[in-house]
Amino acid sequence: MTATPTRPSPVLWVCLPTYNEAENLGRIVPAILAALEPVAVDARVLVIDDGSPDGTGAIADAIADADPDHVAVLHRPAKAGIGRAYLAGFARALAGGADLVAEMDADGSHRPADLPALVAAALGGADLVLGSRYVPGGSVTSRWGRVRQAISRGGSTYARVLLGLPQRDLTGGFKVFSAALLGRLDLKGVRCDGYGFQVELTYRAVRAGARVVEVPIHFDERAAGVSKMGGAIVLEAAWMVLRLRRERGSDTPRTPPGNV
Amino acid sequence: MTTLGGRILPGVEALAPPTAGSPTLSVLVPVYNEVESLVRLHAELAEVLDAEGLAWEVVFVDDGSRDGSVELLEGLALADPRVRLVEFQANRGQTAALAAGLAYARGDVIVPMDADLQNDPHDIPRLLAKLDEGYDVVSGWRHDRQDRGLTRRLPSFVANRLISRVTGVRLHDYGCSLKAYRRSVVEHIHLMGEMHRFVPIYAKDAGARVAELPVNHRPREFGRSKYGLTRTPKVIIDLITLQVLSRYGTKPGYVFGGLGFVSFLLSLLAAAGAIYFKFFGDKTFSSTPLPLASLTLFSVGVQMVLMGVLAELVVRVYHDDSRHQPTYIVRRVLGAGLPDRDPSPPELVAAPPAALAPGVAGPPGR
Repeated sequence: MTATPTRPSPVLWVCLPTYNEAENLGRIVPAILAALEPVAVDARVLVIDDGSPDGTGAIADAIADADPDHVAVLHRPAKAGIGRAYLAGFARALAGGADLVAEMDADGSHRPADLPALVAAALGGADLVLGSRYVPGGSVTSRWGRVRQAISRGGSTYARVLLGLPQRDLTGGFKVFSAALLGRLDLKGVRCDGYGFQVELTYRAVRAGARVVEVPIHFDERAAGVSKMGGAIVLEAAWMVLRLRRERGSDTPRTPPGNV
Repeated sequence: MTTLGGRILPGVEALAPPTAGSPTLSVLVPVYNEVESLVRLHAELAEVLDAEGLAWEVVFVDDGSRDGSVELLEGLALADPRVRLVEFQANRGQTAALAAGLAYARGDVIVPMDADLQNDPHDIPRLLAKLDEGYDVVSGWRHDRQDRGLTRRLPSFVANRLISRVTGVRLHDYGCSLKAYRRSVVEHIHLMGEMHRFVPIYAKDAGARVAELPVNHRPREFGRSKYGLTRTPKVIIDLITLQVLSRYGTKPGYVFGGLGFVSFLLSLLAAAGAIYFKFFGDKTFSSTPLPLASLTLFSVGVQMVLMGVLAELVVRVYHDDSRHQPTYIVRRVLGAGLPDRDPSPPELVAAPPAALAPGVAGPPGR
């Protein structure tokens, strides 16, 4: 008997949008690559910098120069929102031969240690893996006050009920997509930003018949820097969910997908 | 990620049941710090077994890994309804892991294998074909073994010859994890210590037909072997225990009783000798040790017979007691359609089937 030839590992691109994350970037990129070391994937990190005035882009370039096989940078001229940044990142990752594409925050609130479980779920057959704070085993930093928690949970519940989605955490941005799913989604038609972007993508994935799996994660306090979350983002998301809902009425509603 | 307590299957609502009912094949994989192999192993299993068109599942038993294996397996179990994860609270060894895997496996055929990719999933269809020839146990034989000679292969060679000679079950490779069992054969074996390698012997004792099949063995790519020379004496002690238990395990009275009667006989001989010397050999009772020996041997004989009675009692109690304590404690179980085969679920299982998301594969009942 001969040994079976080892097939090439699937290629995973981790998209990391940044705006003024100079303090965090140097820590998070190596941490991601180290966490993925034991997983049987060929991991790359794509930093998508929206012209951060604090020099995040230059730091990203330095990291990429030091490890060009595993790190790439996408510079965008101006701050255009996280949704646009991700879409540009997805296009770059798909062009780069990605089999899996991950979304992740650069600020340290998404722990690289949780990444292997998400990736394993994707390799195990899920089209979309949601890192979820609100499933058993998931948690949120104790430094979030009641109000922030309520907004986050309430946002997920709001979207879940209005859109009829079964997932518990719809606003999180720690996800892994299969490239096949991204190819099926009409990414150009995605309109929302911020929280809304996350909800919209998951909603579209479910409508496209994707197998969606939630994996529990711990959501940490950002390591350094300031959050870009604000009232406008929350309002936009709330409005967008209503729009998506109206859209749903226009075509025949589909039951959640069966097994592929 | 690894918080303690009741973490269970979240959010697999979008996954529809793959196949109704139980799988026919359960692959059991004990895992101890094998994070680098797991995703590949899962992919290989899926490729091979799907190509065969089998209804299969894989039960990973995590034996207290500390390298992130659990997190990976969790991801796999959440995404693939054919993957089950049984997580131990602490490291309990390969035998306990196999016992737990058996308790949670639902297939009619059980195939244990190593997590380190040295066993080749491509051999599984061949093992199954061999079972179909009318055997109950097919044991793998790593005829081209890819391990170091002096510390791994030589002790193993000696042990295999010894075990074959002593037990009369002639296999070349007792240490090969890759085997195939019919469920009925292994269901009632209470696995303890390092006894997993002797399962074919137990099975043969119980009347099973045992066959051997050469299997592929690949060099280790990742991680480290958990075996070394320290295992050899354990194997020998296990072998002695196995022999004694399998021959006399249900009739210890014969062993002790027999020894007791030998003792009585010697006592009689000594007494006869003492009397002979007293009347014909011109010795007093106190000038030879024979009277004392006779008395001692007599009381030893009495003790032995009584011990035999006690042992018979103990054996009866033991065999009456069906509540064999598991040698492991399960922290949680994760995976689709949770235990519908677990005969005596250990207390600390964190995930009752009812807590599962709706729409998950397989009805919990039989």
